[in-house]
Amino acid sequence: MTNLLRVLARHLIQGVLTLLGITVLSFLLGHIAPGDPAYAILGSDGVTVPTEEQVQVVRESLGLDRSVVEQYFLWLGQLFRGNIGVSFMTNRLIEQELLARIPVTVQLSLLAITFLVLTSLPLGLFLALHKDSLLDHLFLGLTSLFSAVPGFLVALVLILIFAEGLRLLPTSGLNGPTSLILPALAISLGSMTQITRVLRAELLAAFGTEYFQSARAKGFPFRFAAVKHALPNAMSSVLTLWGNYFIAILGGSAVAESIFALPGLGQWVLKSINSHDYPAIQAYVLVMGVLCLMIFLVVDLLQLAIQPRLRRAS
Amino acid sequence: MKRLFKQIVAVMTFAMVLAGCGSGSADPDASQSSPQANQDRQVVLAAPRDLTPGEKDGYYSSLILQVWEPLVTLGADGSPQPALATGWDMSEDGKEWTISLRDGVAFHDGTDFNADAVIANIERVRQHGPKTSPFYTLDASKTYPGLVSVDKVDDHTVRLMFDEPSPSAIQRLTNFGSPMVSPDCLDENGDFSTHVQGTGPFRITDHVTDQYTILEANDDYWGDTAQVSSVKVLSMPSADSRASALRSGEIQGVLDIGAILPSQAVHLTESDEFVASSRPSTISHFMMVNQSREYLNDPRLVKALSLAIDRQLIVDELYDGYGVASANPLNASELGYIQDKVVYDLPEAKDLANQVLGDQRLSLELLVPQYGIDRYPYKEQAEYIQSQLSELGIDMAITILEGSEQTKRRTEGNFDLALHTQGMPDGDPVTMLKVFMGPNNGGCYSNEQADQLLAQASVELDEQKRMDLYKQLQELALETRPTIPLLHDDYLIVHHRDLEGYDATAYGVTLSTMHWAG
Repeated sequence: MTNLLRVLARHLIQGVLTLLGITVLSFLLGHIAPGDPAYAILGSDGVTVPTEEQVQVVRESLGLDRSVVEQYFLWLGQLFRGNIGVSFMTNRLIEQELLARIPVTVQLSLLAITFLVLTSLPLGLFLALHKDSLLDHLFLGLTSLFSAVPGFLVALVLILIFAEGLRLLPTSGLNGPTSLILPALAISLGSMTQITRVLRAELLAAFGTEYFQSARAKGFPFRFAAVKHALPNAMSSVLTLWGNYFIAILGGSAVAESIFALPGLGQWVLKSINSHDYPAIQAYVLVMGVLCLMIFLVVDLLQLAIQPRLRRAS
Repeated sequence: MKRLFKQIVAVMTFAMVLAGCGSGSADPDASQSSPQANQDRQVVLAAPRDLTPGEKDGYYSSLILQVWEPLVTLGADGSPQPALATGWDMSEDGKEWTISLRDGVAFHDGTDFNADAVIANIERVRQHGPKTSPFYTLDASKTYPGLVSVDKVDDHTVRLMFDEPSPSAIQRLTNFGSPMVSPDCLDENGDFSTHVQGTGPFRITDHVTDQYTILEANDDYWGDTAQVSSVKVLSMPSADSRASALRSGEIQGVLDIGAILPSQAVHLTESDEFVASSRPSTISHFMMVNQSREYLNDPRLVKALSLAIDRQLIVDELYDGYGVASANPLNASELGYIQDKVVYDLPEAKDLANQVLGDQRLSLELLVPQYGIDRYPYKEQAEYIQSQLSELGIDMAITILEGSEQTKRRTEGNFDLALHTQGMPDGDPVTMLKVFMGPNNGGCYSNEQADQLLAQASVELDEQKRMDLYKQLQELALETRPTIPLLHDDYLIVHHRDLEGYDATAYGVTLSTMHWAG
């Protein structure tokens, strides 16, 4: 219990400091990047070339004529009052956009991480138990292939096979749970092969440890010992990797959302970046920061649950 | 082995469950139903962007969805044609326009379309504009310059009063220049408080941002009603996804600018399943030259650049023939457009460049907007120009920039060469010619004769004389090159053969005449 509280307290303090750092970075990144929101707004039709006077009027109305420091503290104050801002481009409340889009990205990422866990765990165990078999060699070859192929290409191949060829799944759009299967597969396949490989290696290392050998000496069957003793220890590093990949999937969903026309956070932030929509970009980075911190917390709690050593450390 | 068998069965079961969930195949019974029931089947189309930006947009939805209508539309020859206005008349001094309105028209919410509605719509733009939009910015200072007042003559007649002669006023009202919506769907800021309530053959019944818009046929439409009862327009940003969705049968057609890449259209129509439709569009492609820069301020070098580019080759090879090579800055859809003969003469270009540069090589930068790479083959176009200019002794670096950053650098004059797309904001040729020849034109082009002709064309009351001024301006542009036009784009769409009456127009598609085959 003490350990649990310590983990929670550590995460809370680190979280607040990290979030503060994120607000500074997200704010600066938007402002440092080349481009001017006023030009993006006035020229959003691709036809209008604004005059300097028009640009100045828009800059003033958006508060962009103030110093960067002043703008930052105004935004921070606004955040503390619970107001996440208004989009420069659409004039809509960002809160509304987030509420509509977070569920799409989170559902997509959860499905992708589910695919990742459900495939990498049994596959890693299977390959470790069948080291140097034909399947083992075949899989190691496939790992290299999937690591080399970019996610968007995997997405297009999946569309070609499952949507165009077999007509089993929709090519794009959000129309029921089946719409998420191909994008989730596209963003999880590359990570799946890599994590399987890590788990396999961790298990093989665990098979050579003293605790595993003593379990075997007590008469436990190899497979039982592998699942009962080697797997929880091997899981330690894999769990951290899952956490990291989940974050990567959340951030990397932008490409999948764009290809599969999913109205999630990723698609939204790509549009926001193109139009220099600072409040939207800042809100996105902040939300992703909070999600990352939550994932780190969950991973640490899971580590605590599966690692008796950590619980006893107190 | 037994376990392996179980696994195979599990995978097959999963695949069959998915097959059950699939939405790709069309209902086989649908084609055997009655003709009316057939037209009740929903048509699904896809566009590269959300054509319904929503309540904060100047128009709520694009004109091409045929939900709202303008007072005046654009004829095939670029002339203004009646839409919700049935006729117009200009006073002798050109300061007063009397516009007659169509009788018996109602907005989708039941409100009458009349003089009060027109006044409310114009006042909305004057009081709350400019209203930005991804289509065209709704800006009173550009659409109604010099407008003093708009008055009701009777229930179906309005009068627009200007402070100076405005012979082109009616041309500026075409399409996006005069959107008519029910005053009841607007709030106190001129934004939309409900779905847009227009007068068009379709009404919006549902819209989810960045996902879809559902259109239902307006049975009370004043003209020929839409032939299908329901249309779903999906927002699908990826060109590859749109092509895949066509092949899988999920959508029956595409629409909007850049709906399908020319190479994809060629590939799709190799199969008998698909039909392509194209029409010269209101979009043109240019390479702007900063004529304030050293060497580029020499007209001989600008001419050399123009002569070194084989525009027909660009159209044929990069746009698969979907476009019209042109050196005329005026779009082919504009009133008074004159078709020019494009000239490609590399030896003369080399000679001219040599006269300006001598033996030295010149380094230039070409700005390429990202949107041009997403929608058009701008990258290949830039590389082709790079190779051609190399022959003239010009080493050209290509810089790809996000659209607004490129606009900023063009506005600031911080560029050598810039590829860009230019649409037609309204039906007045002077608007387009001013972009390249008028004051503050992006290319720093300066020509007294152009200034005089533009000023005359803006106030000339005699239509024939105005047409002659448009002609003179185009001839001057061809001779003095304020910019380097490359081609006029084709509005290109592809649709499934199951869909008939679905054709491209200069800016949009024939949505209301679209119907299921058979």
